[in-house]
Amino acid sequence: MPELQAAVGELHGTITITRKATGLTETFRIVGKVNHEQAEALGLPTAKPVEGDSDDTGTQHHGA
Amino acid sequence: MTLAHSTTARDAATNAVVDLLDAAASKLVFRVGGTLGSPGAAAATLTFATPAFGASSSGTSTAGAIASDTNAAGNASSVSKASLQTSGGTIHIYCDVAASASDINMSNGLVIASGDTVSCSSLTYMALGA
Repeated sequence: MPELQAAVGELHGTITITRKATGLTETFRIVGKVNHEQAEALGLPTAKPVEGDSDDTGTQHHGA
Repeated sequence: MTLAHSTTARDAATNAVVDLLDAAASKLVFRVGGTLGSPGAAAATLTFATPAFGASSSGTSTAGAIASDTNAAGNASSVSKASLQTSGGTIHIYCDVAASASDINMSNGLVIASGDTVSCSSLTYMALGA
């Protein structure tokens, strides 16, 4: 019987860091992938990584 | 075969997860590595509103206002994980976070130094893809 697969959860957001040392502010866009272990623990359907796929979890953009 | 979910199903899954963070003072913690069972050191800890997230729409839930960490613990290593947890420390979401840059070469990744102020101006969560 084929295994059904679904996308795992994703977290998207924007964070800003104001550096204590310099006072400069940096803004980052974050993308998070919820891990399979947690998704399974919550009883959610999960997708296992496909062999050969990148483990890249997203992109982040840096701005002033 | 591609598996698709109805919007109703996606909302139900997302709400089931974010409802675990409904209690007051749930936290968004940026961490240095670790796993769900063995979380990495916290570099910054931000506090969610109550409840943390609103009701899911089109499979995605948006967090309410998040209080900044105005005196981050910091860590010399890059932040690579984030946890969403209750005020008591029960982690319900543990995820990888990316640390790359398009405008500046951040060779050290996303490093939070001690005393930095870390704010989160927007955050959304989606349990299932479409």
